[in-house]
Amino acid sequence: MRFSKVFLSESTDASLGVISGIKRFPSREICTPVAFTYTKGGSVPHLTREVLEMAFDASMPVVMPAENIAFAYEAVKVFQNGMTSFSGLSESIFWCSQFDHAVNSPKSLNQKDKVALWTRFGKKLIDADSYMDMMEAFKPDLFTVLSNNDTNKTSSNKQTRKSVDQSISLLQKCVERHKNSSILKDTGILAGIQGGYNVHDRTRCAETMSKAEVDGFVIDGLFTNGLEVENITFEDIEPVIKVTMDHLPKDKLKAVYGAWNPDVILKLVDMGVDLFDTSLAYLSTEKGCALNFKYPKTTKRSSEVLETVPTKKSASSECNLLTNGVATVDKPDDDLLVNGNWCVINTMPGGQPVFSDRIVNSVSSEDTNVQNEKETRKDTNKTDELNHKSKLPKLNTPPDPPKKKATPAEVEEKSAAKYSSFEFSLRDPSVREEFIPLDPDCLCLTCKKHTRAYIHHLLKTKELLAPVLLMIHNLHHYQMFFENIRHNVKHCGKAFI
Amino acid sequence: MFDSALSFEVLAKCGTSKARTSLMTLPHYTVETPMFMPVGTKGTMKGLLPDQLKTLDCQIILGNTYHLGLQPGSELLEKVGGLHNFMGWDRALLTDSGGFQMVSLLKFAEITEEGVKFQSPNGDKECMLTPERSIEIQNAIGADIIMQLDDVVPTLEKGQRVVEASERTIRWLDRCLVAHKRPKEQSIFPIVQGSLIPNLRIKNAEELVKRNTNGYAIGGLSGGEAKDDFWKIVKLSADHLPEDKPRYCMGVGWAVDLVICCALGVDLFDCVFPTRTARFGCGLVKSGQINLRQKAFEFDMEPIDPECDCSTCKTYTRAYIHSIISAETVACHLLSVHNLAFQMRLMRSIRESIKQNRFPEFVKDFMRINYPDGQFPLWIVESLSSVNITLDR
Repeated sequence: MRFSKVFLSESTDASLGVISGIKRFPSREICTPVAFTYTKGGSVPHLTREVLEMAFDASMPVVMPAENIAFAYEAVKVFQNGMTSFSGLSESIFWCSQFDHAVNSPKSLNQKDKVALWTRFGKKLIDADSYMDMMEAFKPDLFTVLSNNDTNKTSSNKQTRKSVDQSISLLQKCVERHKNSSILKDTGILAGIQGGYNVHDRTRCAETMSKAEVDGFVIDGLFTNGLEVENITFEDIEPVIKVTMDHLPKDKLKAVYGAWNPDVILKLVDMGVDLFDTSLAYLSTEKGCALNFKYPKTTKRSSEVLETVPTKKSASSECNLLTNGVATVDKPDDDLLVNGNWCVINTMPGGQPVFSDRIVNSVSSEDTNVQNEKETRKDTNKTDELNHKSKLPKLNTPPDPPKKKATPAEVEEKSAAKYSSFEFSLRDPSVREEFIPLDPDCLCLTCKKHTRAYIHHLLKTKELLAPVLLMIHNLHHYQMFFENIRHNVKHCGKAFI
Repeated sequence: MFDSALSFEVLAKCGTSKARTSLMTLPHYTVETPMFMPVGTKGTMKGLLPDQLKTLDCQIILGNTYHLGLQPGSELLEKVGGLHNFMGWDRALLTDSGGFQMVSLLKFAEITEEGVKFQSPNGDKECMLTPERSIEIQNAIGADIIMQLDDVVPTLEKGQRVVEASERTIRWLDRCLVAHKRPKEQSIFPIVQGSLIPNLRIKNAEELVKRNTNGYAIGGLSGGEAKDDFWKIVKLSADHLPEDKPRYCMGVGWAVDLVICCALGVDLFDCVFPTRTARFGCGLVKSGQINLRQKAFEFDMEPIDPECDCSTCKTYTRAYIHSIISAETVACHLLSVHNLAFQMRLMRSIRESIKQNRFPEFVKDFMRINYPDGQFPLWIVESLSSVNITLDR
């Protein structure tokens, strides 16, 4: 597996990259930032292969947590063709992560050189060798090594120290096995950076692991309850993300798991994170909700692009709101950004980098503080936007101290931009007679064919079609979110606009 | 748009038995018969998208008036222009009358001449389902075929109550026909009742036929009666219904029963069986069904049925389905697709064999696969012999 950066923003650490060199799909390339589709038990939750083909490109890249496919290990070993073939997703690029980051994992039961996986049939203590045996049976294209990520915001210094010590030792063993495995030698390998919210342990872990022979890093150990990730704020994680990113090589893949608030995702992209997953789409579905936050493509800069679809308005008024919404520039794009979430590109024009704004691999000197620029974005009007656009390439402001006390204006702006609500519940009685799509502008199969009222009825009668329809919409919505992130990083140099 | 809400054209008849294959033209779709109608009780087919049902060649599906009347309710369905619009299904629909659920699901249902009195499941309110109300709800749902409210008695019930039910069914039919507001768009099917008593069935059928409706149903069966009684009543009822109208046998869905009833001249069937058994982890195969929960399938890398061309069998192994069967809804969807494909394929084979005038051979082959030792149950031998198909033991 190879990863190369093809565009680096001048104003932030956001970048565009390409994952390629996958042995099973030599001509396929994935454009980052990207969200791999979260799966459970080897399938996209609620969606069969047939439905995936009807609603999406069934070759979407998937992330399968070892924790929720461990039950199939023996059968997949007999099957011999790997987990994705076993579960009907053989054309998908397959990232095997370690823990199921969309559930609450009660851990605290790790032993000296073993880590607890909570499988469907209970706790399973595994060491580096048995984990690598699993990887050899599952045959992923990319996997995260075994580590101890049993830390969250409340973890003690002792716990974070232990998680780092154990993870470093597990990484060494896994890397050794990886090098010597004939099955896995072409498989991409990601190290899990641990250390909870302890800056000192994060630094130690990142420093040590940055020297390992791996293709990239997962910044892990930020939560143990995947169901509550959406409530963790960017301010909570910023110090440890920053210190981790500072100690990792710029040119390698960086991943963060979990169902983060869209706001946090955007800020992580601007800090240089490349790889995410769609667990938010899944968790929203399980709650009976539809994602409805608005994040349009733009070449303009406005703090007002973040809107949610009001749930109680009529179809026509919503359409008006959306079409009159500021900064929606939906001009068709001719590059790889528009090819859906996973961007299958087979040729790079003329061997040149696809994005020519800046040549890659030069060390990024600017640590521009994203928050800082927001002041200049307030009260956007056409003239301002144009001015900004012309100024854009020159943006190279020196970094400000990150934890500057926010002014009232900034606080107000922050809350205005924040996705305090990024979904709406279809269980709510107010949608009972809303014979309009989940999102009148959405082009997913659910929105093209079904109404809010129908999904409300399906939820009320506990029918299995409700989560099918919601999952289709939410996954589509999340894919579009990332398509637009790539667009905006290219055109605005950042995702958080 | 249509002169009549239903037209029925017999395309071919079996030269030996009473089987026939026909086209039943309904406002939303032209249905090929004999046809199995999957049951989508609450306006959805157990997790499958309408497009998946079309891929499976489902042409008409069933909704339940009782359930739809409670949720989302007839007012909402009327507002949205009927169940077709609400669920996004543009092919044909049939709704039952709601009477059967009243009696089977509710403890305190009381049947009077006026209708079925029952306790609302949401509260202590006492409700009444009259023939008029049933048709009113079914008019709002807007299915292509709607059913009269009938007086349902348990199949094994005997005595005066059975006579009363059979006669009341005729009186209720007349009230339904009067109440029906959309005869150009919806056809009411009356229901032949009369338990297992031949004379009562004949009398009942003759009375219904006098009303000259677009089609007829045979009810009150599949309720635990002996197979020997079952086939005789189906045959007797079918024989007393007109040749040029569709005949619908309610609640039949087992493969063997479908083949026999087709031979006896029945055109339409419905049953929850294929989708319900899927939810219990069972997949239909030619020789019956397999339960994929069984440990035996843990390493079985074959599809459910190697000869099946459904999307499930093309992609998934028994081992994978076994591995997720109680954990993921996907397992249930995969089995529902396969089981409906199985039913649809069986009905297609029946239709094709009638067109090619080899239905008796089809029946013989089918029975040989189901009973490889040649030990056919007596009721199968006798029912087929009553329509001139002889099974060689």
